[in-house]
Amino acid sequence: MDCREVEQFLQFYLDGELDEQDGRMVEEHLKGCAPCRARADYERRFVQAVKARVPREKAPEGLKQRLRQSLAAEDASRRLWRRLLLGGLPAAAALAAVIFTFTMTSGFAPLVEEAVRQHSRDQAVEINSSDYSTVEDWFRKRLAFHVALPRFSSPRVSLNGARLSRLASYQAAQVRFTSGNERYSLFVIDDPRLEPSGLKCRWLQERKVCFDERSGYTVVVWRARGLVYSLVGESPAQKLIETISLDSF
Amino acid sequence: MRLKAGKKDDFAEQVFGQLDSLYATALRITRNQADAEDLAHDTCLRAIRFQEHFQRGTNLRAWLFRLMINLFVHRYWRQKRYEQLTRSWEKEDLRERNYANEKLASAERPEEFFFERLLAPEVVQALEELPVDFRLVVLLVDINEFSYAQAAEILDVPIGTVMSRLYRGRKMLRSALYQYALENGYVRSASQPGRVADLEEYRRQRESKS
Repeated sequence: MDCREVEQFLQFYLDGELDEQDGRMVEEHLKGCAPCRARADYERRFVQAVKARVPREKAPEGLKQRLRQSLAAEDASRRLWRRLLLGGLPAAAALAAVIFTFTMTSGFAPLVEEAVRQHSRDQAVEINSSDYSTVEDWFRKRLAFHVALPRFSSPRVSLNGARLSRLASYQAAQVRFTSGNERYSLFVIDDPRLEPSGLKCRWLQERKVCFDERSGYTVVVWRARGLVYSLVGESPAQKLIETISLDSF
Repeated sequence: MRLKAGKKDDFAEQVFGQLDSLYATALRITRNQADAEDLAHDTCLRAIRFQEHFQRGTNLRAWLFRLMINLFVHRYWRQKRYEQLTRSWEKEDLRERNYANEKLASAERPEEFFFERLLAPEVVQALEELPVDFRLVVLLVDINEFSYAQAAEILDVPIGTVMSRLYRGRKMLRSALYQYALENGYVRSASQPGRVADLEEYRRQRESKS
């Protein structure tokens, strides 16, 4: 091996990437060639100097904590979801994807609180009809946005009238439903940009469905057609989601 | 009811064991602490979530670094790609010139290992100013001691690409450091007049020895 060849292989030799035979040939040459030896020394010391001077920072304690918390949250959500699934969701098998996320902000909470309050007050309906189109027509004359009602395909769920309402600064449609002994209120507001933040959410049929449980009521929130739907009921989230069958959205 | 610790917990523990290494490298890649923390955090989370994708018996560390590089590329680099490239072109000319100067200097005084006079922050800055492609290879092979083959896997490039990027990356790094050393008086420029006599002397001595 001559100096030119050694120069070509020097990097590989110094990085320990040459096989035994080639490595030995380079070594033999270096033993008898001072300039190449000096060059090898220079290159080796450069890499060592860089390595020695780049600090190996330790992960901050906050990062470790955050990771542990994230893992615990993931674990908890997975267990909860398994419980809900095993609890007999009829549509469980048809669910396309399930992603469980926790959001940190609380911008949507006041609306949820208001929806619960309105529902619990049990005020009289302003239109007494069990026909979806009739109710939608009634709202068309009274609200600035088009109220599109979801069709609950479960035969047990029946429409029981509606009224005008407000959620915080939003004009809202409040629609009554009953299912056996259970009463529900569906609130519909118009805001293409409002996100149900601060609630626990999951994906049902490619739609993000969020829920909150407070004061003994459950609220399920989802977006469709540029509108925000909030369904308030008295049964736990599991049963409420059960009630929202496949075609609802 | 608490379940007894299973494979999942072992795996999580192993991933935790690599967090320092991932974070330290993430710092060099993203160049700021907040992004580095996010990158390291999300890498570990993904690793544990998708642990079925990891082939037991293979190198976990390499797998984790691969996840991290993928995340980085998707999240940060694609957006900033143009910006990075432009910046690297500007510095390219300067680096070529410096390399020539440095070769001359090291020929004169091969015993002058100027880089051993530099401090950590200076080296880190030069490293972080390397274009990302080159920086990644230097980080993987020189700092994290991965082999060429492992680095090729991690970066999803041919091994020849690792070799050439490493070669050029090291040259660029050394060149940048030499420039810094010149500007800060660690070494004197080869073009200074006082040098000529010394160079002649050196050559005379060398010739008389051989």
